[in-house]
Amino acid sequence: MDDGRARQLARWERCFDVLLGLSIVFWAVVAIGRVDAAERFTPVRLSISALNLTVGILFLARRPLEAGGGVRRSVLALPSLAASGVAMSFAPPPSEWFFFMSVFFTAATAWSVSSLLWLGRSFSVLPARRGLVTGGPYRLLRHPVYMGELLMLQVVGAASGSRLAQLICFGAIPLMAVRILAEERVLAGDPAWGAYVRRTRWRLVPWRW
Amino acid sequence: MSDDIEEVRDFEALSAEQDVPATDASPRFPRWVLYAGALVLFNAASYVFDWGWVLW
Repeated sequence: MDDGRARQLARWERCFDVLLGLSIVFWAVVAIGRVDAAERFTPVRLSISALNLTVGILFLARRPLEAGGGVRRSVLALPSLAASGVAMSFAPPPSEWFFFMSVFFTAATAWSVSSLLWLGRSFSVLPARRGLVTGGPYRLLRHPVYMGELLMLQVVGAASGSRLAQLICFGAIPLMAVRILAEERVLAGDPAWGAYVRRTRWRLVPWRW
Repeated sequence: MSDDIEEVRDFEALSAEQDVPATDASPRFPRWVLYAGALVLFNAASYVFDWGWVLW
């Protein structure tokens, strides 16, 4: 690809990141207004708002793409992306959750948000490479954000009376594994990846996988 | 025969025009189409559903 074309592509990507980041921040704020007043300031709702706002801001700040995963790997990652929102729509209002569920959910969300902040400008939603991050929570697990999200999903499943919601939350585990494997195929192109995998052995669950 | 060669050259030129490199069996799309599609889809889903988030 010649330099002019590469620059044009980088401009498209930047434009997309800014528009999507602003869209996410906008809808995150709209959602706060849509929630019932009684629910708005529950720890669960506040932590979800914090998560969505973090994602929106990271889209605005993230680095240019070093390598993309292509359409096929992006499509493989999409079902896992949709699972959380769909499952949450089946859950009862957080004010009706058991107290320990709210505490567990909020802690898992705080872990996800702090891992996202650590990931910083290397943040991606679909399989892509924007610079390898190996410190902080990424020293313990290769995908700490997904571990937090998986815990959040299991709390949502436990809080939901709906069998369908529980199926979605449980089904999200293999979907997330597919997404992780698709991402790692792209990240493997980084020269530091081999040493990182040898040092940080576990992808999602310590001593398991 | 020369027509065949021309066709191959045309195909290669067309492939080079695509923004998304086909390093695997991925279908090829200009990248701006994917970006515009993702933006429209995200905003439409967010408008229609409360759960139209990227994450939650």
